[in-house]
Amino acid sequence: MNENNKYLIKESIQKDSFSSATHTMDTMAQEIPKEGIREYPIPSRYYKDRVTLLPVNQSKYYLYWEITDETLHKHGIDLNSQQLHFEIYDAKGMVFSLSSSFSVSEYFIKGVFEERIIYAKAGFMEDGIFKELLASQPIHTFTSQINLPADNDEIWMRRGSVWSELVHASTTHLEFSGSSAKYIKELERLRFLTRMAQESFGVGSSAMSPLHKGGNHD
Amino acid sequence: MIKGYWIPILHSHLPFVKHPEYDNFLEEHWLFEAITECYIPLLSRLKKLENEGVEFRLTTSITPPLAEMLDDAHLMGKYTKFLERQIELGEKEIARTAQEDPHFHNNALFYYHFFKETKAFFDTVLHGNVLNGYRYFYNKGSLEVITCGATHGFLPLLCVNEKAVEVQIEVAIKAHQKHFHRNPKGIWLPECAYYDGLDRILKNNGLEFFIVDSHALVYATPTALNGVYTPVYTPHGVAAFGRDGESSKQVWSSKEGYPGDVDYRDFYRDIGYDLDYDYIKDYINPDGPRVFTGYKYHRITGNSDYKEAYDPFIASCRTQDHARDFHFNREKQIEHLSRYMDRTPMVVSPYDAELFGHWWFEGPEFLYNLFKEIDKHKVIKAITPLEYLTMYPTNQVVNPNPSSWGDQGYYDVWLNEGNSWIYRHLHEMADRMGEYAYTYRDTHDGNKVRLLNQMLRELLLAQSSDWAFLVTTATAAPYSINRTKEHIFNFNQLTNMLNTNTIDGERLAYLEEKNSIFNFIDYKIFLH
Repeated sequence: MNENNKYLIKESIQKDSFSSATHTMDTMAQEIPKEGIREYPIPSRYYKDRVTLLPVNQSKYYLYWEITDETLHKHGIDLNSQQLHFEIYDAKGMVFSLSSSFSVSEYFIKGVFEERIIYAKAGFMEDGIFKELLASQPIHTFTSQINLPADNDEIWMRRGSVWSELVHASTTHLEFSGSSAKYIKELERLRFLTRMAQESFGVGSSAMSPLHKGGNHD
Repeated sequence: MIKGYWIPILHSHLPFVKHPEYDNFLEEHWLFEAITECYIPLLSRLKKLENEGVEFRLTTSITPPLAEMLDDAHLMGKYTKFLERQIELGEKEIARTAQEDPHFHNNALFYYHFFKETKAFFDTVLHGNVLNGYRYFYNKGSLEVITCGATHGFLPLLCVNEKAVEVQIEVAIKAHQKHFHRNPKGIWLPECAYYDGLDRILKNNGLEFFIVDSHALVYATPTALNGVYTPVYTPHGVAAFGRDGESSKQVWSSKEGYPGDVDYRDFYRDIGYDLDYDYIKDYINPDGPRVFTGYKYHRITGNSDYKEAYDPFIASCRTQDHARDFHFNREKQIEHLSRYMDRTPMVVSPYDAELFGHWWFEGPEFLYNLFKEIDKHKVIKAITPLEYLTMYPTNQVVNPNPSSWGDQGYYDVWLNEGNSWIYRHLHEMADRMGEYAYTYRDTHDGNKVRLLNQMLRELLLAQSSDWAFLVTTATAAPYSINRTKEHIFNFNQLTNMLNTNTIDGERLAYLEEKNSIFNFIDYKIFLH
């Protein structure tokens, strides 16, 4: 392909290589005259207690909350002198905490909590002890690891090299979707696993047995 | 001998936009351009393949908002006027270029005939409804039409209220029944976004397969042992098909993708910007700003501002070259994969449908030539996901990794510092919709039923992932923010009417006409 071809698709595809309707909408939406846009007021709060935790990626989570004046009053919390306290938990215990003086706000949590269930508790500190007001729904976090089937070591080992080729081919596009570091890291991991398999069994990829248990046209 | 299977999947989607209060509204042109440049060119190529006896298989989503717009009499009436204006501009351009700009005279003739033929196909073959074309091939079995979220809501960020996700899926199924008279077998998850547990809702709605990006399977628990080259089943028994990066790259990549060929049409050079304002003003935005007209006379040429005249014949020949190249690469890819597999491999290639025609003008011709190439060599075979599952019903069971096909592969595009404010409102609206549905579950007051139904429409429209996406790309942030706020505002206005028992009939009727999506909607769906 000619190097000059980089010209086409340039910004739209580079900014978001895979998302839907990028080009049509991006192009046309730019042309909407701003003076034609009406302002719509929306609520700044809903007068309901709520704490919500959402996943963003493997190392970023979004927490938002509203604690009503009624709840604050009921528990004697004065945000002029006290803070709300938020704690993130997984199955083993607390993994993150933060404090805030705002009854309606949000926070982006930075932390790697891969492959687990986490949730948030909102509360306040009293005599050094966390008092819970309410909790968020639990969320299942992401993973960025290969999860080898562990129930049959011989099978995955014998298939390891072959399987790694398939994984390699499956992830080639990641390098142009902005995940090259992750991709390279994964390749290094695969090479290590392949080497381990070969050292353990003394076989190379050319001697690998069929990958899948199932027969043809099963 | 068939060495492997190719599963091409197109995602056809535009957000619901309808402005009956204006004769000419730019946002509605998104739809008109997509019909003209993408959907009709695709359907006409499929018809041509059928006429030539070329076997093909294609899977495409037609999202519920797109189907609703394509079936909307008001919008289709406007589309007819749009085509008439394009033809009128063509006549004007033929005369102008003959006198003043002979270098582009053939281009003017090309577009004039392009729009004339588009109108003829729309009127006589499709009988004024683009869905007729999809229905035709769907019924023939050569096209598998799948659904999507009701309004393309980003499901992993809506599942705080699981009912909100269930309603996105259930309304989508009903929309599919309305437009295609049958239940969909598969779904294009909005933005290919998956979260743990979504498969239960899909299974409950009779959906048999969906599409994910490769890392959903590579990082699944456990990892999909065949990578993306065979499907897997989720714990609830729904098949997940993973995107193949290599074939995606050949079409999408800015470095190596076909659409960047120097002979293809340049997207940016358009007479809406190039010609004298007084001459072109009647064919651009009536409010004044210049916009694209669709009359684009230049080829890509190179990466400088220097552009040469576009030659449609040469561009068409390039699509044959690229079809051969794509076929050759798939054959080699499949041969390579076959060495590592005990069954015939499949390669899944999902793309935005709007890439083919709108952005890559020659894209539909490329697909046409590719299907001919496949039919000619018969070493790879284009099939649908269901056909693969019929041949290979037993597959590994994995729990796919939560993921999307957006930049970075997770949820960042739809949840970041610029658009996070949206979700507080979406979650609250969903909670309140459930509460109101319960409170008014037995009401027989016609106006209240209308109002509650419109509340659900506003909720669904606010949930569209398109607005959060466009906020992130920053090119259309003010408009997208406003669209989200409009639906939040409408929802709250309607709840206030309900709470105070003072229904503004005129306002309600206006919203019902403007945001008229899903005429079958029943707010009680939030109760089931």
